[in-house]
Amino acid sequence: MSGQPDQKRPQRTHPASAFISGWLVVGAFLLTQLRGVLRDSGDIGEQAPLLLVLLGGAALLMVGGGLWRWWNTLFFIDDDEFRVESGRFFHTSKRLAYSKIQSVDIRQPLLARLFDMCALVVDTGNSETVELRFLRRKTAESLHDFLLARAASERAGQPVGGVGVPQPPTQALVKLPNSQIVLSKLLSLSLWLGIAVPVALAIAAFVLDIWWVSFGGFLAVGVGAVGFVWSRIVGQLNFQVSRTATGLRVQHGLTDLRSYTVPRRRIQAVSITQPWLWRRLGLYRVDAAILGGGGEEKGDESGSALLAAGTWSQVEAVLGECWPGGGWQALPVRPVSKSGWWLHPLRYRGSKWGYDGHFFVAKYGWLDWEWVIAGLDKVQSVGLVAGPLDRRLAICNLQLHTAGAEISVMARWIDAAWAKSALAELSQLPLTPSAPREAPPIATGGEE
Amino acid sequence: MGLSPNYLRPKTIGAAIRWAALSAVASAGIWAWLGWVWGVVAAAGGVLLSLWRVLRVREWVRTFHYAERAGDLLIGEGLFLRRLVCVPYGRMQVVKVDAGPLDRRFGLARVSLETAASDSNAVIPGLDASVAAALRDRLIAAGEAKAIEL
Repeated sequence: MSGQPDQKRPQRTHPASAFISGWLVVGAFLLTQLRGVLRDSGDIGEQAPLLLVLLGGAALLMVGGGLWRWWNTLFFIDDDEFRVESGRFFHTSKRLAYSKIQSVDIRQPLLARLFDMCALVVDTGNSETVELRFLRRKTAESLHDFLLARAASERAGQPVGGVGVPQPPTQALVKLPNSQIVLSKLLSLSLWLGIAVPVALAIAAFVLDIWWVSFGGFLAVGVGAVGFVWSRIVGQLNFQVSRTATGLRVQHGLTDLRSYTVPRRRIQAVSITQPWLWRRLGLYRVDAAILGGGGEEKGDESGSALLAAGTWSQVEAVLGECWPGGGWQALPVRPVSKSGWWLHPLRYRGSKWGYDGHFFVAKYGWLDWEWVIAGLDKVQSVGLVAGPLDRRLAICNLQLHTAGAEISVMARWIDAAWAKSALAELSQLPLTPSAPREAPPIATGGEE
Repeated sequence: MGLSPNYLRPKTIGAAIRWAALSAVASAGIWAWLGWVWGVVAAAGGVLLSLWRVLRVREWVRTFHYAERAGDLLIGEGLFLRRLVCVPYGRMQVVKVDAGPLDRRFGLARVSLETAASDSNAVIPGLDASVAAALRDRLIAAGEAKAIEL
């Protein structure tokens, strides 16, 4: 894809995608067959020719189907529209409004990675995402940049050049060393719990001499533990955050490369967490609550993580990108109420909360710390909640409701009088961001 | 501002039906599980609980209040867990008026305010239908005057 494409000329994904998608299915089929053979462990010799014929037929079908699908899928990306036409028998035509594009991700499954191919996933905020698989990496990146820039300019009301016109480069912001990620993950309790529980179950079954449970159990535990560690650690390797024109781009993964862009204006709140074991390492994890869900699919462990495990200066670099104006560090903070300290004796000492005209900050915890930061321009409404015991102790919980449900922004156990005045002051929410939301221009010297 | 006094009856009927049904199901389950003695005890407990809930409805309706202020709407509710929510007009996305069959019979409607945050949960039940419609129109007008982009 060099230069500007002809207007209205349909494009196809890369021809090799037929083979990649086909082989993905064949690979899965092979794997299940292999597992079946292992389970039966019967006479493989007799079944071998039949198996081969079956496999060959399946492979041919897959590749044929893949080619057919590839040939019949056309997409149009130009100044006017983004449209995907697919299918011959069941024809579907999807047209996406540029202004509705919420995020554009580049994914690289293992097999596609071997061929240096990428899948482009376009999310419009509703459940139906459009996936173009597969494209050459260069093509995918230029389409990605074009779609994002186009979506941004559509909102701002000014057109941009066509696909292929060089977009502002991205600038690497934070690159986490892999040793830091592995160390932090090894020091996370949930990892060990995730391994220990099934191991304990398997050992219990072994001790109780339920041999078939224990055999299957050991196998399952082995596979499960490897998969768990794999997804937890290997999936987070090569963690890199870079700055684009519209927001932050997060990339991570060793075999499956994941990349998602978090537009700055969709960030509702940010949480910084520090598990107890990380305190000595001085590491923190940063998550963001994002309007319309995270850049990655839901249920994924990393959610919309902005930083898997970073030092404080790395945290500040990332947050400085969320709120270029800064100012959240120097908020006047208040302690939680002294009355009722016995309800939460360990957590009341260091817990703090505060707000100014632009930000709300709360820091709570005892062994594990959690900071929550919300820009007031994204807060939708403010609430106070007090149970009967709270009222007797004259304490109150202050809640700030944002569109990102993943992070609850609240100040617990605060003095009721302070809570009342906070409600009165916070209800005068700023309508526009006070700190500039647009990032300073990207330095051209810093790109990779 | 408070709720319509007419709201007391549909709310009482609703609470009675809900709690009676709940305790009936629970007592039947306990009867089947632990025998009829415990079933009768559970039923008696259920009757008392329902009665208490029904008697508290008057107090709940009396406590509920809302205020249209210059820049926001304030809603206060609850007896046990007291909740005060403040929704700036500029943050409102949808103002909904709806009425169930019971509400309609008493000429009532409920107004719900939706913001981009699902936690906002700002609902004013049991207003006279004309009051509800007028409130909705005022809220929408105020919201349009101060709308923000997400």
